[in-house]
Order: sequence, then C-alpha cells, then structure tokens
Amino acid sequence: MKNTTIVAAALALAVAVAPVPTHASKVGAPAPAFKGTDSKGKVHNLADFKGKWVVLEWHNEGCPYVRKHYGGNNMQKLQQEWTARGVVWLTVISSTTGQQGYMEPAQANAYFAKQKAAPSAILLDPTGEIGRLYDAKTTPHMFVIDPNGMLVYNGAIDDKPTSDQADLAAASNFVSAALSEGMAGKAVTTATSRPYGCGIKYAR
Amino acid sequence: MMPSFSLRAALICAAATLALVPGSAGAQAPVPGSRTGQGPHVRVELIADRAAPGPGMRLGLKFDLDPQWHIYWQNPGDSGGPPQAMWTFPPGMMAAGIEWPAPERIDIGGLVNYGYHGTVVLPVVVAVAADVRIPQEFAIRASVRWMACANLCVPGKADLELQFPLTDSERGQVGGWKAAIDSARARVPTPAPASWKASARSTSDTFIVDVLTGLREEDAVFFPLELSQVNDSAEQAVTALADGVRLGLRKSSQLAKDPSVLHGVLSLPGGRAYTIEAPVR
Repeated sequence: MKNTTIVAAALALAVAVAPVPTHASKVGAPAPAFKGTDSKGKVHNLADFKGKWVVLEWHNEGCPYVRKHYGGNNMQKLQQEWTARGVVWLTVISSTTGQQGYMEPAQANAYFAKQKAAPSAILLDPTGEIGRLYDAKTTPHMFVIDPNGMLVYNGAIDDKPTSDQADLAAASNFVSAALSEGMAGKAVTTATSRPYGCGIKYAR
Repeated sequence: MMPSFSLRAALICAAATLALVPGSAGAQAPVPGSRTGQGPHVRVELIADRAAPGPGMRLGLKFDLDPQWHIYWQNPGDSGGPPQAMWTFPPGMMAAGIEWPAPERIDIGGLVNYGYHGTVVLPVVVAVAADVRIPQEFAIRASVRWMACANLCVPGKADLELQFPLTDSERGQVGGWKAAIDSARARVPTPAPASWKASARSTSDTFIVDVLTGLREEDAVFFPLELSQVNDSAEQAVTALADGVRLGLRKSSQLAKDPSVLHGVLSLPGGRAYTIEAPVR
C-alpha cells in the first residue's frame, strides 16, 4: 500500500538522523552533559557532580509564576531542605541579554541574596545553550538527575499550574517527591509532567 | 459534544461549577457589582445571549486584549495557562463549562502557545433546571483569573456581575452580545465527520498523523487536547495527501510512553476546526 511505503521511508529517515536536542532530556536516559559558568565566575560541568543528586531550576525573576514560588518562600525552602541533604541545586537563567530575567553576575548575586535563596550555584546561560540542551520551556522548569547522571524527573515544580501564591499550600511538589523516592531507592512515581510557567526568553 | 476531556479541562470544569460562598455582606444591601473589569493590557466583560434565563442559555466572557497580547486556550502549549472562572448562580442554574473556540498558534521567541489575540469571547454553557423557578431578580457572578502574555506575562483577575433583570441599556445590547457569543460558538471545533479516518504512527521521536477527509487538504494545524504528548514548539510537517493530510508531530520531552490515542483539534483552511482522535499504532 502506498501509505505504508511513505511511512516506512519516514521511519528510515527518523532512524538515520542524529537524535534531536528536543528529545535529549528524556527521563530514563543520561542527562545531557553541560558546562556552564556561575554568577561567581566558577565553571561547572555536570560530570563534576557524579555521585550526587542534582536539581536544575529554570529561573526568570520577573515571571509571575516564578514570583509565586519565591514570593511565597517555597523555592527557597526547597533549596535549603535539599542542599542540606547533599543535593546540588543549580538555578539556571537562560534569558538572553535585554530580555526579562537576564542578569549580570553582580545583579544575580545581589538578587538571590535578597531573596534569601540557597541554590548551590546560579548558572548564567544567556546564549540558551544549556536551556536548549534540556529543552527547558518555562520558568520554572525542573529537572532531577540521579548520582549516576540519569535524568529521573523532567517537568513542573508542582501540580498547581497557576501564578497564585494561595495555591502553594495544597500543592504536591514533584521535585521533593522525586528526590525522596529516588534517595529511598524507589522508582519515581511522577517522572514527567507538563512544566508550567512563562516561556523562557531565549536568544533567537 | 465533548467526548473526552483532558485532565486540565476537567479540573477547570470542576472549578467553573464550584459556587462561591456569598461574601460577608451581612445586613447591608448588596452593592451591585460591575459587568466589566480589567487588568494590565486586558479588559473583560460578562455578557449573555438572552435577557431572561432558559434552556440553552450561554454566557460569554469577552476579553479585549491590547495588540501583541494573548490569553490561552484550554491547552496553553509551551507556557502560560488558560483563564479560569468561579461562578455564583441562583439555585437551579450552574455553569457547565467553557466552549473553547479553536485557538491560534502563537510563536513567542521560538516557544509556541495556543491562544487568542484581539477580542475573543469564551462561551459558557449554563444549565438551567426545568423544575426550579428562577427568581425575577438575581445576579450571576464570575470571579475570573487569567494570564496574559506578550513577550512578558501579567496575571489579571476581575469579579464580574450580571444583574437580572437587565437594565434598559443592557437590553439594547443583548442582540450584539448574542451575535458575539454565536460567532465564537461557530469557531468551536465540531467532532470530525464519521466518514473521516484518523490514525497515528509512532516513530522514535515523531507521531505521523494521517487524517483522511476524502479531499486533498493543502494545510492543517494540530492542537493537542492532552498535555505533554506533542512538542508544542516543534514545527508541524504538513503534507497534502490525495484524500486528506499528513502531519509530522514531534513528541514531547515529557512523554514517558506513547498514548493509545492522540486527541486534538485539527484546524483546516477556511476556519474549519474539528476534534479528532487518532489511534496510535
């Protein structure tokens, strides 16, 4: 049948081309390797954190959804709680120059100090290289990587996709659940969810 | 009309049918609320398609947006979120959900949203019980929350109230309100004709969806009704077939395993929009 031939050709094509970056941040596969510079000028490689749990948090200070989690002290509490348990928490800013959320290093340090935020480092990614590698869509968008470098969670911060602080109290946090289950040696129940927030202001 | 719901749509429906507890106005006479409200870059209005409630009644949430700004469809796409309304009705009436007109694909810096520009009316079905006497004087209230985005996003909210009986001035406007609600309803996707055949083939990173309509279709846009199945920002590869259209839809990074069915809206040239269910093979 004609259709079968066309589909078979499309299948062959799909196999022939290299894996596309939009599919690279797949749970159950190795987390894409990246190198990034933080707001203190230090360079980090994902490989440096082998043996540790890593959380990636995409951030834009002007986004109402991010403000829900910072204004409500929710993100800071998560950062404190999990870094105290040895997790490496990397807050990533992929807003490009001139766009909402973009920060110079000094600005980022002052802003996160004022927020009483407690990430392990703030990665500045104005080229969007790390963001695109992970196909990060929104702020916030959260990823959890296990000590073997496998991606175990990709998605929203919680199950209440609004910008309203009042929704924090009843929300079920997917990142905490993934870390708790993962550290207990269990499979992550909710390994993916739709990230919610503002679109990331990428360089075009 | 609505064969199946996404989880989000179901949640919004639940929210829409929740009645608010009347405020603590106490002994004071209720102050008439406003039929209109606004937030940054957005004006919103509560309208009705008739002057007296009855079966088949529709209300409308009419949004008027500044140029470049948009609000969201039931599946917002890569980012954002749909408007939500909490309703208060007299006994015997309740909101039975928003009828979502087919959205536009809106590219913001390489990420794609599904939503609306300009002026858009979201029709709301009102269920009216046959055996309950609706009082002469009553108010319908809507507590509306929305996210509006251009390059930036700003949340907005408004508490709207439509008092019945309508004022003389409002009676004069009902014809226009009905026309606006009917025009929005004409853009709500209808179920695909029974003669159509839709199917999806799964490859490693793409769904290849064939919709056989019986006619060659030069263009089409697919709007997923379920979250996290299709990568919203990926370009949709459209190929005209002799008897329909084929779309290549990149899979979402959040898709853990193939669904049994792809459920979405297919928009075709000329403002035609249909809900389709394509079994995945």
